[in-house]
Amino acid sequence: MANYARWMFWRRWRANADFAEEIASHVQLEADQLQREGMSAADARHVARRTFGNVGAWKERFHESRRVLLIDNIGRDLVHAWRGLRRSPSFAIVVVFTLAIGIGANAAIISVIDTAFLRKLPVPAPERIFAIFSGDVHNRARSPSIGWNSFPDYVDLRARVEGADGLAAYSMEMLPLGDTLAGTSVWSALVSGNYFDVLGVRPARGRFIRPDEEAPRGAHSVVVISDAFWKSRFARDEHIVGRQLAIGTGRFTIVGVAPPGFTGTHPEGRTDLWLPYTMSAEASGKDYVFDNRDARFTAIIGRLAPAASLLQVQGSLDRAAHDLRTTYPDLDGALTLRAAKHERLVTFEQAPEALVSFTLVWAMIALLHLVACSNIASLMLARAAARRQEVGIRICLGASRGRIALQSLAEPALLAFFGAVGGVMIARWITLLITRMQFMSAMDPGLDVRVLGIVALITVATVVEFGLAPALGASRRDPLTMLRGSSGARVTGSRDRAGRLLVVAQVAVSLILLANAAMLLRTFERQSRGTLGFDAPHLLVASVTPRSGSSPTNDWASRIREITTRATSLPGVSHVAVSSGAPLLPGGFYQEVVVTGHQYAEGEPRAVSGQNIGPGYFATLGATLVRGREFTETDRVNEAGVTFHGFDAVVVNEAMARRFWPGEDALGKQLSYRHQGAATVVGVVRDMHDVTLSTIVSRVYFPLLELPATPRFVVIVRSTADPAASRLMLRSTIVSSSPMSEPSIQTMAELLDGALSLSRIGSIGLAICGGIALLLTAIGLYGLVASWGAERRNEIGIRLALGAQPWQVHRLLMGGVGRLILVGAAIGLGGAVAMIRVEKSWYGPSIAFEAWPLVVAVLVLSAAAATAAYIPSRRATRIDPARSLRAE
Amino acid sequence: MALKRPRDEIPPGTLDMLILSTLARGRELHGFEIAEAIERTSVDILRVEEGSLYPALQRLLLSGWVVGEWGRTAENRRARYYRITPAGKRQFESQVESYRRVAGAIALILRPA
Repeated sequence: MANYARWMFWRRWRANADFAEEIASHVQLEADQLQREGMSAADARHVARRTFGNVGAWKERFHESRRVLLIDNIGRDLVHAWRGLRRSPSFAIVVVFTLAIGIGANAAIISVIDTAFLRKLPVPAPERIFAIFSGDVHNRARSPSIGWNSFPDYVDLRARVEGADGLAAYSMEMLPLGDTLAGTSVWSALVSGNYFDVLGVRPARGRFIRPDEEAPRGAHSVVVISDAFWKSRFARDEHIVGRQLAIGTGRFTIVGVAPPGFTGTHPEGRTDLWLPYTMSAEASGKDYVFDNRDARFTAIIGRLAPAASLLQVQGSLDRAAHDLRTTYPDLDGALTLRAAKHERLVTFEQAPEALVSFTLVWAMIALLHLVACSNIASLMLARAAARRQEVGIRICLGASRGRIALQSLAEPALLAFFGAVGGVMIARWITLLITRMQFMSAMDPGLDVRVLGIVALITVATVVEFGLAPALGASRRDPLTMLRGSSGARVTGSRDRAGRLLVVAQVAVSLILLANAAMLLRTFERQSRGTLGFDAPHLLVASVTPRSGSSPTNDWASRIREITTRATSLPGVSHVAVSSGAPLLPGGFYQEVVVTGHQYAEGEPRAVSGQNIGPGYFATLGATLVRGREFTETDRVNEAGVTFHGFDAVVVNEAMARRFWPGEDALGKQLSYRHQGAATVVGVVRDMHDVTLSTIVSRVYFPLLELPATPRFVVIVRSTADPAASRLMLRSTIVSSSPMSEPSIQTMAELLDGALSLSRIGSIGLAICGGIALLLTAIGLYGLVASWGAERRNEIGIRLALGAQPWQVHRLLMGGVGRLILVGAAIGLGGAVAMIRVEKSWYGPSIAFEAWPLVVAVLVLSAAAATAAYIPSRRATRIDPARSLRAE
Repeated sequence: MALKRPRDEIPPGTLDMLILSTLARGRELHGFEIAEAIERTSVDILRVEEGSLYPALQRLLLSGWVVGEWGRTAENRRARYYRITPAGKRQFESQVESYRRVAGAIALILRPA
């Protein structure tokens, strides 16, 4: 492209030089002729040149006859526009700044959506990758996540699945690092040997894990690291292959680096390390994950064979599931298997709320940008009006409409260009900010070509929006009117109509944003104000993950008892309890429960939220038992053996009681789980917000020893002592009960904060958006009324002279605006209601549809609009009638 | 010294045709010679504005109806020589065709009734 331009310019320059030479030769030849006819040499040359006339003019004409004018004109227009902007720097800065924010925010959010939901896996032929989902025959309603299969099932499936070019499995773990990186943990994948082969990725350095490195256990301590890990922990060391990495209790050799952009196949986080699953004992200590058939922590992915289809795979899966159900009735008794495409990190099925949230956020940002652009459009219109005379002269001098339009586009194009540059920088900054947020860590939204293309598109759209309209308007006018200048007459219909439409649009958008912000604020306030159902202050929550080597139950019961006893004796501690989880701590589980005597509807889910708690749990939390009792020590069954025992006692919460035994006493009722004998309800606890702050969930509390295959447990301590000191003491207590790994201790206040943080960020962000929109709308209104006042200055002056009251002037100017605001508000209200409906259907009961926030939003908007319109209107009433009469 | 008699201007749009006609006689001429030829052949009735000659030649060059090459005149001056191309010949014929049609129509109108 640059070469072509250079050649064009060179050709033109050459042609000009050529032409000049030709003219010179012509003049020379004519002079020769005259000499032959008898003139002197000097005279001949004079006459010849004079006859030829104005060489310059003909050069110009020649120059113009060539069609490369376009680039020349554009260049000249841009320079002219640049000079014009330099003369009004504040206008330029405001506009560029507004554009940069709008473009940057839009580009950032679009790139996030793209990375998360639209971009395909960076492997060859991603559309042939599929994942297998284990499900429950009884519970079709709940869509299981990708990582919910069991590894022994996978081994059986490897032989039985048809139509696949390889089936691989992996399990995600947070692995602790050692050596120089001690104290940190990274999200890692323990993979089967053929994982990388199935995906077809090529390593950036070294090699990947080989299929033969799968067996035997503990033999191949190799690891593959991600590009981001290489960059952040090893500073892209060239000799990375062969270096050692301490993971868990083992030492691993780095054999390769994944290509940049490959972050694994799991939606929940960016994978930084890949190890063979046979090293799980050393790395995570959790080899039960791969040994037990009812430990479901494995994801299974595969690649379709070239001629195969997903239906074939599904068919063989159905048969395999049937076989597994009959071969292992107590572990796989209700198993279903399903294959689905897995070409993207997150599919719509798996996380629809996330996609919807992001799309909504994007819609808000796009709307805000629209409002900003319409304001800029009004400003540009005003500027164009000021230039009317200049344009009129140009038209009289022969400029074509196209030329004028092009010229008028130069300034907005320049502004948009700078805005885009600023936008790219802001987008970069925003995406960096987003990747810091934990739940988005899987994303690596770099600013690649696609995003820049999107930015360019947005910029062009922006330019077209606020540059074209005034440009076209300017070129259509009658030059005479423009030369005369306007004031006095009413402004022409089209410009006024554009201004009015802008105001209506701005009011509508502002109302939508404000209403949403108000609603979210209200929800947030309700959440933080509401009763939790337990006593939050003075609670410490310690999350403990034992190291490898220890198997569940046996050692454990005694260790847990030891911790409990020692913790109770710490100063200031009144209660200690152990549990599988804690309120608001992420990582609960769902347990299949069959309530005796309950008629289950078709597809009614049997899973309920569950927790394993030790004795004194409710007392420690300060929750209220409305019926019955807590678990006691005797509710533990003997600790012999590793397999899980059936249990006698459970405690349910009120929501569960209401759901299954409405109007009756839940005490003494029976339910069964794990397809074993019945258990009896021995207590009913008052509802707590222990799963999520927004709603109450039905819960069943099981006694502690029935651990659901995760050895992690939580120690909850109620202490009146100083929190910092308590924290330290608790830590040392737990750590000294070796071989526990480093516990993670938080106060309940911190957990609450964390749970609220997302809504808080959302509501603040939305409020800011709403505020900005309101400001822009107010400015727009102000401008409109001010321009009306200016246009009709003489008319108003005459009216005042004839005795009109100020309020009549107000009515004149604000009446028109009032109507616009009403229309805009009506549209905005409709839009807001529609949007809230959509949100409610996605987020469920956590968003309350109240009229309050809408009313508040409307009031705020009206107040702002009225003020914005009143100020210039007041100025209009102060017009000196004598001056306007004189002007007429 | 021969005073140049006041000449009539060439009607707009016909300069191209006249240039092509001059070159169609199978000769290579440079700009000055083309202008002279037209003036001479029209028995000095038509005057060629140098200012329109060269743009016209440029147009013809761009359209590919003539080609130009730098050469030396008899007096060893540098000049650009033009030559008609086959495409130019075809263009010339069609232009003459339409010109004759138009001229004939005008003549019909102007004929005393």
